[in-house]
Amino acid sequence: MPVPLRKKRRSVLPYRVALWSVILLVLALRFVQDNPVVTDPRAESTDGVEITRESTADILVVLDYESLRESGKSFPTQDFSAAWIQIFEQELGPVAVATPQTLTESLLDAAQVLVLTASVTDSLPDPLIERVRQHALGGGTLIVERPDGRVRELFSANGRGGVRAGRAITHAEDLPEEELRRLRRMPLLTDYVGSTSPREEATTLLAIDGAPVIYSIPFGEGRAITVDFDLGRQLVALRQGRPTDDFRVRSSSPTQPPRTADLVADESLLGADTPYATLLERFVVFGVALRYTPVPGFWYFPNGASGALIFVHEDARLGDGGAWMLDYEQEHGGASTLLTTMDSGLTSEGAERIHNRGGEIGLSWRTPDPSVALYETYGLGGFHPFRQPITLADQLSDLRRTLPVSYVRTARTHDGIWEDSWEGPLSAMAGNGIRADVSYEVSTHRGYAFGTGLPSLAYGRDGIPLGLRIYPVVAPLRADTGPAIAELIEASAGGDHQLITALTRPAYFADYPDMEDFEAWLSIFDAAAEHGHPLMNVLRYDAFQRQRRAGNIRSRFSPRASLPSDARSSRTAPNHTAQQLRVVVEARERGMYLIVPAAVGNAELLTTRRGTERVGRDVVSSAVETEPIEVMGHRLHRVPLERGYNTLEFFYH
Amino acid sequence: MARRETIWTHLRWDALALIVVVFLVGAYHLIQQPRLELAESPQSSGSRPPDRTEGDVLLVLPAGPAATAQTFDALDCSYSWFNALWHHYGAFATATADTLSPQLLAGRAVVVVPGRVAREMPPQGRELLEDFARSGGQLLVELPREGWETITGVATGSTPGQARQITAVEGLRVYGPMREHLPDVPLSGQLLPTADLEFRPTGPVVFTVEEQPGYLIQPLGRGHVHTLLFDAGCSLTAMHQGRPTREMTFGPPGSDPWLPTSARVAHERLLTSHVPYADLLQKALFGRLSEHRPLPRLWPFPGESRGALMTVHPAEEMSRAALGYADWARRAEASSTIFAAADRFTAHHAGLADQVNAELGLLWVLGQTRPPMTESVGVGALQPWSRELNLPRQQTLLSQTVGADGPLRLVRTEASLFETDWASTFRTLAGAGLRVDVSFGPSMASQYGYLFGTGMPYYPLDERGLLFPIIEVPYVLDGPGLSISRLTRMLGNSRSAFHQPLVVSLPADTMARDPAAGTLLGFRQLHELGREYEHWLTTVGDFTDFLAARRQSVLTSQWDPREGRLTISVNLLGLRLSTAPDGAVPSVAIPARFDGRDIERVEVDGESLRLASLPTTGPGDERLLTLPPGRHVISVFYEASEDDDDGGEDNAGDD
Repeated sequence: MPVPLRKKRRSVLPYRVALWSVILLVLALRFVQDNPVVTDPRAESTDGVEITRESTADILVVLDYESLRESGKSFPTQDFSAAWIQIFEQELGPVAVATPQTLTESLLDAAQVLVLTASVTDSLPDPLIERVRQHALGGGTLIVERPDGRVRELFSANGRGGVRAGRAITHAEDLPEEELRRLRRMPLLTDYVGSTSPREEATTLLAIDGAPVIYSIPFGEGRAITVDFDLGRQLVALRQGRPTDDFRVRSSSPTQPPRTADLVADESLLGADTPYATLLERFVVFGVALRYTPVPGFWYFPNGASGALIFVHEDARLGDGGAWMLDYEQEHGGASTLLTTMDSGLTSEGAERIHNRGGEIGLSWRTPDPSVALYETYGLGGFHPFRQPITLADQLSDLRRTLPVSYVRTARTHDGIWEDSWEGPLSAMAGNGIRADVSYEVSTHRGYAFGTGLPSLAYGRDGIPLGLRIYPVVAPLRADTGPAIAELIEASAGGDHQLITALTRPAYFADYPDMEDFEAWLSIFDAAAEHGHPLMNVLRYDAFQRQRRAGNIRSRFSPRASLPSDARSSRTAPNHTAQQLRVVVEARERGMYLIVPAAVGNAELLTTRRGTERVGRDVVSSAVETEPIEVMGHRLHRVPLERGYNTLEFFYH
Repeated sequence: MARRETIWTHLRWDALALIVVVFLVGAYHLIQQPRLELAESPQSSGSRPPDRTEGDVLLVLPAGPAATAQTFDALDCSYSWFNALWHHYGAFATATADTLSPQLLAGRAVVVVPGRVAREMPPQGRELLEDFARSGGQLLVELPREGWETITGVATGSTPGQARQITAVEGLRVYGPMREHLPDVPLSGQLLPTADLEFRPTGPVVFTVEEQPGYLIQPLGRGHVHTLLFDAGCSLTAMHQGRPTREMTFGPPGSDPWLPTSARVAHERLLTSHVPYADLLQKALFGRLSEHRPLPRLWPFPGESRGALMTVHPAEEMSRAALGYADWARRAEASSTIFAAADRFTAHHAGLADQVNAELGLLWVLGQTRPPMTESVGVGALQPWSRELNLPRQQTLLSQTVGADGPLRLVRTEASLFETDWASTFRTLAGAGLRVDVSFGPSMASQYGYLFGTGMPYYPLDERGLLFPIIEVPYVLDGPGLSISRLTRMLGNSRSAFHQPLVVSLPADTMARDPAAGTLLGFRQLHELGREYEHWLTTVGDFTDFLAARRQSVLTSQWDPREGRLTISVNLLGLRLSTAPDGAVPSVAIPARFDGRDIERVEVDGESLRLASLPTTGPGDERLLTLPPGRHVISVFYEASEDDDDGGEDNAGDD
């Protein structure tokens, strides 16, 4: 019986649809397998670390982390009071940190210098204000930052001039002319509080646009110093970079992702031969905080070196061969850092060889930016239709499997590529256990584009420290402008006392063996040797800094003390008394030095004694030679320490 | 009967469409991954170089090629003497055994008879040579067997042994590097047994091989016969071209079809050798010829240079890096040679190479360590096949890119790989018309030095013992093996003892493959050290051109023993080269002493020269006389002998 055509077609259609659907599905699956869909990277960030150090120290910084968090949601209003921790840690080493809740009598009693940061000066309870007042009256130095209310009434000028944008520093008390000239050139990125009249008996220590912004007044036996400008913002903007008001980073190129070079706070910093942040910080410590109360600290570098040189090598393709520069540096008495990507080809054998020779291996982090990202696919079984940038955590895990040690402490975003978030990459690194970041670099310029060569504590957008330090690259090897590396090293030895971090890429010479670059690299060794800058890696210097911060220094200053008999002379007659700074210091490692001011008021350091102790009725001590040294215009003396506890007496006359 | 309809009957068009889809997908895959058609290159075989009639030294060559050797022991190494005489004397005469005549021998100082020629020499030829020796000539015979006893004074056994090393050199009567290192020369080939004989001066033995006489010198009439009972020619060939491990092939059974040239070395000692053993052996033999009559020669370097130094940069893929190294050389006022892969070297690169004064050669891409060089084959956009470019195509492509006037003549194989058989690669290189190969040398950081017994270029032999029309220029240091200490030692040895051309190979990818600071430090110092050690900074092309001009130059001499006067007639050819803008002319090297007597005075074209102005070679055995190109007559007067005895036993000046 004939079948109607129409009926036939209807009966075939489902088969046809099924057939082509299957074919299309197979093709589609194959297509997505070959071209997986990119999904957003997993977020990696961490909350900051609320640093408190409740062991007693000569310096006590009081701050309120809750106040920092509530201070504002934009960069100009964010309170960076935590920068005070970094200031003293960097310049002296040990510092006590307390919040209004953890502040104890013993901490206050031990403090020679008490710093009330802006985060607490407007909210301090009256009993605490009274206790602070007593501290100053008793001879201590009190520093109040941008005070308000009762604290301003007690210690500062009226502040009625309101908040003003600063243009330039115009005066720094007792700072040598050359250093003052340098300080005046510093770009100002902060506001100050003006007053309609000066405080009675006030001495201006620092002025912005002619207005006193740091001034001191005598207060009983002690001194009250007011810091009436946002020092924290100035230092953070210089060191960590200045974002937009909403903490974004804009790329200088519309087609490129942001780089760390886009973080530079001011164009004038490109190729700067002056570490402005350090210059300001040292003035605040030695020219202000220690002006009336001598407080000792640890010297910046191991073995009394005048500075140090860190070589960092970033490699993404040579694998074990990426260590070729490191090998040469090790032959010249140094041990540098190799930052390698997870796809560079580094083998366990190569990593072990580097490690055994004292080298450090860190991560060159391929961030999620498509220009550098590494991807992993995921899906079900063997079908992987999606791909996602490999996270920092996974990259670190992969590197740790290659290394003979279980930790990775140093990292850098590959090629210095940043995110549009100001603190995003730093937060991710801190959250993954990284302690030192070497991303900050302006590849075209040598110099202190980030205001310093020394490591700086990084902060989140809430002003809380991230537990990670930024090691800015001062000398990118292929930079063609800015001061020569040899000049930077020479200036460092001459008084700047900086860490010079040089960044090279071993693969430079694979693609094009530029003779000038090679000569430039070799010349660094000569300059470093000539100016006493040891070559070290990030891990080693970071470990030294940790020991420096963890060291214990306790000092007591006496305005009148008898001079040792062998130090007496006609000049000290008839009473043979002097001002005495007695220091008990614990050096956590060999090669640490103690620094003290060369003068207290008009009194110069006369003699130094070591090991002062009473044996029966006699005082046993030995004279110690101290070495005078100048740090950016501030005169200091330094003395080598033995590992463990040292007792020293410094007599000023 | 009506055909039964199924669902597939109704889906036939769909099935057809599906076939089309499958076809398209297949075509897409073919385009994405085209099939590769391997290339074949034309080959050529060895030939006899044209004879020269002028020269103090005559090399007698076989009248015809030997049968194709299936084993190394069966290889005819006669033409190895051609390389040896070219290295040492520069100008010498050649003739085939069947053309030997009194006229051909007249005026010669030395006649060299290689082993195969000696074996096939008819009695008439032996008589001619005996007469030549008796009348004052020197005859050097290799592996003489029956029929030669009356000439050589040595009876040899019929069962040859195997020569491996020189065991004692008491009869050499020289000291220094020659005496120290000669026992380390790796020997190959046969050793004819003979009775024990005394060392000179009481006997005829110069040195022993395997504890039996290996080299003897016997007086014959007014002349002397030098007898080599070991296969010196094959020893030199094995050092130059490698010692096959099997039947004329290299490497263990099952080896890759392409092996690095360093896998060929005749002895593992050569893998780390500061001593050019092949040249040392040559000099040990030829140095004895000057004991009985001062023999001048053409110095293998222009002017007063003690050696030559060349750099090459093979660039398999990284042309830019090669240009970077060439720029280093330019800044050091030197030049280097870039071996460029035709698919990686652009016209822009060629322009840059010109700016940095780099010489260009071809990097023959084999597809072994990098992707092969291919061209697509197909119609329109459908190109499902790709065809590997053979050597002549690669050569043409690069020539077109660089706009070369003529075909490129310098070549380096990819990663210094050669086929494992005796000479296929040479056959291919020669077949493409290439004239200079720089592929023999170390391939690992641990290897360095004279892996092939010499730094001098040489003509390779084919299986029939004929010479390929291509020169092999071995290199002595390579990439990661380059270091200041090795370089300094090699240059120092070259200046003071061995006088060698040193080719340093720094592949463009060295700093990507085996990066090391020592490599760059070595290269940074290279040209300065070259100048310090008085080496001519040149390129491979310029050096081989210079050697060709030296070979074209003519040098003959007459020796008057009564007056102690050596009269030299030279016609020197010079070349103006980019690395020798004032001209590269070979100097004339004159024995500094004869029979214990120093040179008293020298006249050139009738004018006396100040003797102190003539520099002495490193070992102190020769004085160098630099002359402008053209014809010159040089008269060298040696101090008068106090003892008019035959002498010649006291010349210890070689080293």
